[in-house]
Formats: sequence, C-alpha cells, structure tokens
Amino acid sequence: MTTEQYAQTVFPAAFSLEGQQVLLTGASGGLGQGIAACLVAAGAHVILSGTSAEKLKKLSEKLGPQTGIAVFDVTRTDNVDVFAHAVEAEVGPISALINNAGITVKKPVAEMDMASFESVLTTHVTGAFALTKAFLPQITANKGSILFTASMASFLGLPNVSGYAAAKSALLGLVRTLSVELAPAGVRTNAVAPGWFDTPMYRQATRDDPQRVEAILRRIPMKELGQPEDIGWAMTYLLSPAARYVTGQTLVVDGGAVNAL
Amino acid sequence: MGKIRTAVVTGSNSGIGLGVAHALAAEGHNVVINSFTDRDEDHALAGDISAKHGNKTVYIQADMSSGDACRALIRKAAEEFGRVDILVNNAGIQHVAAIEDFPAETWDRVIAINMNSSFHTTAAALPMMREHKWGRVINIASAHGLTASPFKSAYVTAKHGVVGMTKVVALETAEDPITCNAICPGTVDSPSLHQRLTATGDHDEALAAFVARQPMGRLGHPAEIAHLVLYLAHDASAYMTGQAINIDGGWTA
Repeated sequence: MTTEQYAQTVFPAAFSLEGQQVLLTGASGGLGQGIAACLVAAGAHVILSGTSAEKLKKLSEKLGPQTGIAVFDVTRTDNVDVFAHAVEAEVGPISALINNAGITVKKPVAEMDMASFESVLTTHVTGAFALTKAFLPQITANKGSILFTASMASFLGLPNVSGYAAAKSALLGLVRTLSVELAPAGVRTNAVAPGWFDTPMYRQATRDDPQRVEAILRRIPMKELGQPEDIGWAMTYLLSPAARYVTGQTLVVDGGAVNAL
Repeated sequence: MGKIRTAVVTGSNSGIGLGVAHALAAEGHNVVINSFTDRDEDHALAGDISAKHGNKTVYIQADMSSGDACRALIRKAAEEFGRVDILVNNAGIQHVAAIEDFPAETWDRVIAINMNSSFHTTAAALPMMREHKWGRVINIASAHGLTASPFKSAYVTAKHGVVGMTKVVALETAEDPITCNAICPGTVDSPSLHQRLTATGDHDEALAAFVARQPMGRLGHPAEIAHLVLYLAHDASAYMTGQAINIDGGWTA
C-alpha cells in the first residue's frame, strides 16, 4: 500500500512512531527512500544518512520537516564516535538506528578479489557494528531499538554474491546476540530480510536482460517484485510499541520466495 | 477507519485468543469468538466485546477436536457475516507426559485440536477469501513450533506441523491477495499458563523459573501477540507470507 493510503488507515496508537528519533543509513538508496517515507508517515523524525549530501538533501526536501540529514560513510569505523556525538548534539539522543547501508559486488568466487570481498563485509557488518556500538548509549537511554536490513541471501544460496551473502548472514548472528545481550537494558534488536525488490539497484542489474527478469519472477510465488514500502511497514511495526515483546527476529518479506523450492 | 473485515478467532474465550479478538474488534472488524463450551457467559463475552468496541461480535460454539465442527464454525460465521476474511487459528491444548507414558487418545486429541483444526478451518475459509480477492490466515503456533521441550511431544509435533502447513498454504495462495503466516509466542501471561503453573504444585516458584529464562525478564502479554496479528491482518504486510515469527522477548534468539 502507498504511504498516503497508510496514513488514511486508522491503526491503534501502539503502531505510532511519534516521538521517535530514527537514524537511517543508506537512506538515499531505493529501499532507504521507501523506508524513510513509511517512518515519516508513522510519525517519526528521521535523520537521513548516506554519503551524498546532495541526494540526502533532495530526499529531505521531498519528505518534509520530519526529516534531517547527516552525511556519513559507514566504512569510516574510526570516526563513528565523533559522528554519534555530532548527531546527539544536533537533534538529541536517537531512539532507533536502522543499519540499512549496503553495497554488493557480483563476481564468481574465482574472480572475487579480496578487496571487493572485504569492502562488502566492512560496509554491512563492521560498519554497522561500529555504528551500533557508538549510538548504543543514546538508544539505551531511550529504551529504543536497533534494526538491520538483512536479505534473502541470508537464507538462500544465490550465485556470485559470496561477499554479500556472507555479510547478510553475519547480520543474523549479530541480531540474535545483541537481542539477548541488550534485552535486560530494554533495547530490542531485529532485522528485516527483503526478497527481490523493485529498486534502482535491481533495475540496473536486470537491465536488458528479460530472461533474467522472467527467471526471477518465476522464483517469487506472488509473481511480483516487492515495493520498498513493504520493507518500510515491516520496520515501522518493529520500531513501534506494538512490537515491544519482539526481539532477536528477522522478518522475511519476500512474496514467499525463500520458502519456495 | 480501515476496511471492515470479518474475522474468526478459534479458542478465544480467554488468553491470547481473547486478546486477539479484542484487538480486531477495536479495529472495527466483525469478530467471531469461539470455544467448545456453550454457556451463557460465553455469549455474554461476545456482548461485552461488542459493547466495548462498538463492533459486531458473536460467539459460535465449536469443538475444535472435530473436523466437521471446525468446518461448521466457518460455515456459521459466513452465514452470520456473509464471508470470512481473517482466520486466526488459535485453539490449542497442552498435555505433559514422557513419550512412553503419553496416552494415545490424548496424543490424538492434542494433534486434532492444535494442528488438524487449522487444516479444516483453512480449507473451509480459503474459497471465500479467493472469491472476495482478499484474505489472511494467521496461525498461532508457538516457540515450540520451532524448538522443543521434553514431555511435550504431541504439542511440539502439532506446532511444528502448523508451521509447515503455514508455508504450504502461503505458496498455494501466493497468486491471490491472500497471505498465511504463523506467530510463535513464547511464554504468555494467560489463564492456561497459570493453570499449568499451579499444576506443578508451586505456582510462584514455577513462574519465577519461567521468568528467569526470559532475556527481557518478563512474560509476554496477549495484547502484544494481538498487535502482531493486526500487523499481519493489515494491507501493510501484503508482501509477507509463509513466515513463522517469534514473539518471545528474545527467548529463542
């Protein structure tokens, strides 16, 4: 459903994100933009983070006064504390962090150079861990929560994405560990795992390749790609008070793809 | 207000089922509540829910150990409201015994109520959902749908079966605007839990032992399960199907 339709439906107050301050990494990507729109519709203030100030500014103008921007490269693990302090100084302690920034390198394993493999792991795993650690005092102070964007590649074997699959699978372990470690402090940790989604990254990867598109649609039981909002609503639920007993979980939102053989 | 749907919640005169019924009623949906008894207080409970939320709630008696009764429940719900859009399979019983000592008739009864009933209600409700081009099947499984405890062989077997059935129903309905998902609650504060705690001989000590195992340091609440039902019943979750979602405060993480 569209964000406008969502805003028109009456959901109990438990699903509202009003009063929440959410930092979203990878905000200007395809999924990130959809996630941001849903969070705003649910009442959150969203700090859009990414590496391109220009793209973030454009998105912030589109989404309106409930958004701000914070330029940061998640691979700069040496600089996370400075970044966390800067964000807190500007908008106060955040209540939620969404580790959504991601990259992929598609190559057969024989051609996957170490630098590419490591860059994928650094972005998804090391970078997300460092950010989580840096923002944890703020999130704990708010008894807030942490989300990760996992992937169907956390569950399914897909060719040529060894780094991406390793990184996305690592996040599942991180989610489980953080959930039990942080539960006593009142902090919840969850993930959402998208299947095949209609994003610029997907369109780029399947451009001029109708056979590939057909093969993908054949593997999705619902016979259609997901829309970024499908991930946004799942994250809205997980961040909201309605999900206050949900922790350590990875919601798979994939039109049935992971379960289908 | 969102679209008004008709929901059937099996095993819903107490605990999680009752919490789910209240949440769906609060959204304005028509709700059928159910149990195996047919007492005045059961029907009065439906009246209380309607009065509280201003929706239409009816009580329909059905013994979920009987396949025919399960199908009749769906038929009667459709006679009352014209259709069934949301089916929440929640009815369940527990029996604790070592497998060598597990009475065979009790095994059959647990399997019938906790697993087979979902087969019958789902089979009866899906044609209406397909006809009306919208549907939600939400199975209340359990943390024991994905993990195990000793002496609960029938319950664990049935709940694992429900998770498997959930995945199949999801695939069979994927090309219609219907989803099927399972919710796997951990330990929820409900009358049936307290009955089982009392049966151990020391209610408070058994409760403390339960709570000590929870990373969040507390039990779940029926309203928390009900909120996940609302999310899964909402259009916002339309691309999510075939999933078994733990809601257990980190217990099984």
